[in-house]
Amino acid sequence: MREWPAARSLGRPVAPDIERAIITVGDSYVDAVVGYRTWWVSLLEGRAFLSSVFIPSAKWLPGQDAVSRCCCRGDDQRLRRIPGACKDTCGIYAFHDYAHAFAARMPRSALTDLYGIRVPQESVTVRGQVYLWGKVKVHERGYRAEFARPAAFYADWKDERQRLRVQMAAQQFDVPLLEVS
Amino acid sequence: MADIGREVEEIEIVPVPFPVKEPVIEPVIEPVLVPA
Repeated sequence: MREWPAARSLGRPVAPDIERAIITVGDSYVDAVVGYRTWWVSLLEGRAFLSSVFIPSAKWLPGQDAVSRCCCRGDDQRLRRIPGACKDTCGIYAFHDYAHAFAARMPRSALTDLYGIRVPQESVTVRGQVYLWGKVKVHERGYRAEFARPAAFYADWKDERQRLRVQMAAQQFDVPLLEVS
Repeated sequence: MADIGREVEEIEIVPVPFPVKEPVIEPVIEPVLVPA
């Protein structure tokens, strides 16, 4: 097994119970935090892309690391309309653990009714693991991070349409499909 | 937004360049000519 030099974290020491994984970013390596989250999976001309559940305009593309956009600067007009939403809520969200991510289910109709979010009917959800690094805010049940990359998807589908999209996304994002235990 | 609770700390995880292995320079051994 390869020996890695100690990874560098700035600021306060990282809590030992935070799940970590070494990943390669360009010509460097990162001792990334591992989080759990849900995405929308969509297909455009046979190419899969992911998007944030609450901000469908925030797209994740294969081969590209996701970078947080500061909504406080007004990139997202919809967020500006929600009182308090722009106050230090930026970042790529994930939960600490699988249980919290799986418990955070919200019907598509509730997203529309509560937040005015309209998701294309052909999009399906996928739950998975995500690597996080850069500035990472640690919360009681999750994280907000500056950079992120999908790490794995869960083979958790309810119909054939969802299975096909999740499998295609796993192949194009080059991530494993994990059995739900 | 997902309900992840109250913020408790902030960390920063920065990429670390891979260590570069120094090239090993082999010593050159000159042949010694011995007169016949």
